[in-house]
Amino acid sequence: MVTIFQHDEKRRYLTDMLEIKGDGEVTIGQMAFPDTCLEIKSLQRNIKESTKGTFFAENNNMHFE
Amino acid sequence: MEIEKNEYFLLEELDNSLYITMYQKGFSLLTFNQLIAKHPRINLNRFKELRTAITSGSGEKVHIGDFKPEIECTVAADKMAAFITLNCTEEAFTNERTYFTSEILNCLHNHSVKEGIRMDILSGPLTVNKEILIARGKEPVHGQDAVITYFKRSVRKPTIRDDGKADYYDMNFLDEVKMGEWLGEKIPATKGTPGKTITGEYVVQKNGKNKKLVFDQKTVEACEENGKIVLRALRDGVVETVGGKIQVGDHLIINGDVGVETGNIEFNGSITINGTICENYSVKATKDVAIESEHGISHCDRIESVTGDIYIRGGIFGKGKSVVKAGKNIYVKHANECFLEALGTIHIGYYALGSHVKANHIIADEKNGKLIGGVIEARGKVKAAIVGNRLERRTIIQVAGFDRKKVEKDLKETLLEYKANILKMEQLKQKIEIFDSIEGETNVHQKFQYEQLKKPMIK
Repeated sequence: MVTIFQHDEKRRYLTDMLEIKGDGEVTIGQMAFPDTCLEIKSLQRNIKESTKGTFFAENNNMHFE
Repeated sequence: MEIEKNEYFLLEELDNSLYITMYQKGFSLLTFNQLIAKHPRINLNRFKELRTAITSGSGEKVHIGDFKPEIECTVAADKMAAFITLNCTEEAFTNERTYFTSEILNCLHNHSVKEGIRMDILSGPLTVNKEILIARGKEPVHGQDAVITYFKRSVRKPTIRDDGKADYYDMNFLDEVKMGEWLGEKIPATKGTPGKTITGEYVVQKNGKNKKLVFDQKTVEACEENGKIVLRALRDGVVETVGGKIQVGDHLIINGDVGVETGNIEFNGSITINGTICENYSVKATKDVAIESEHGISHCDRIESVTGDIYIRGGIFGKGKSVVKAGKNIYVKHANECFLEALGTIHIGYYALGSHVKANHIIADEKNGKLIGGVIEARGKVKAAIVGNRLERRTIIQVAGFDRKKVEKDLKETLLEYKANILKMEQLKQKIEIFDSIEGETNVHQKFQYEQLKKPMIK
């Protein structure tokens, strides 16, 4: 029975990970001010102008939407 | 037996078959309807032969249908109902009611119907030439499955509210119970009662399925109360579910501050501090830690939960040295210049300012949550309303990321193992149910087998 609960916990953790956009995600709901440095995996971006949205890494590229 | 005779034909019955001998042509086929109304036992089913006989008027005896019995009885395939049809005229039935009643009973007897005869229908106004339900078997009453209810633990979801004077960061965190308090119950399965067919055979009922209450026998007891089995706490503590088992965990409540009076706290269980943690003091628990003071914590040394969550209602001012570390999640109103680390998720109500925040996921409130300055390190995702500030304070957000394909593969394997375990458990449950159904009739060997089977279920 304990094994079932452990598997269930792991299943929830992995499902939760797969709900993330790409291979790592940063979501800014209202505003990211300049001099914010984003790094997802080994991809970097310095925010120079105020912005909002979701940054995520996929296929060695940082995407923004 | 002669049924009807006129100048056109002779209608007669022979061995329950109906024959017509036409002497001459000219009889209208439609006139047969009146004949049927007059003789309800007539059942014309060979229309082609009848038509040929009428049109030819050959004088030959022709088989044109059947002669129905006066009382027809049919028994349903499941033997749970019997029907009769009175093939007679209303007038005949009214005039010979006693005779018909007796014949109905004879007919039922001949069909072995001996249970559930509806005497109310039999003595009531019966309709002729229509199927009447005359006997109904007793349906079995199936037993109800056991119903289990457990104490519903609070969902850890912080809420943010602003009453105009102050902002509050609230959450139902630990569920405290006192000794003897209700933690769950089972309404036992019922056995039901057998039914009976109209021919007198018993119909076996399905007994309700038993279910097991899963609880820790050291901290929870099962008592029988008013026909139910009720789970009650054997001591004061917090309600926990570990491996599917409900239990009462150790709980230390400090009604004040952690400071000179208490010293540093280290506890095997969960801790609730209704005050704050004074400068340079630390708190460590193996399970959850809640710091309920609305004024927050200033300059404490360290707060640690080895395997559980940490909830800081009022936020923390760390002066660059306070460390908060959790085995699962951290819920904090705000964090100023401190180090937060969790293996699960860090939830921030208002802001993290100049702090080092490290977790699997970091979620700041979507309306109020700000991440200003410092380093935010996550494995999966970071969410916030605002990052940085107008003064353009440098804020570093690092997401280590993960290998999606590997996670997908892991999930697939986990699901397969999970499914296999569930199947195994279901098979065990079925075997246990068999033993449960013969409870009290088992021998020593069977009892041993039963106990062996139950072991993996309660582990």
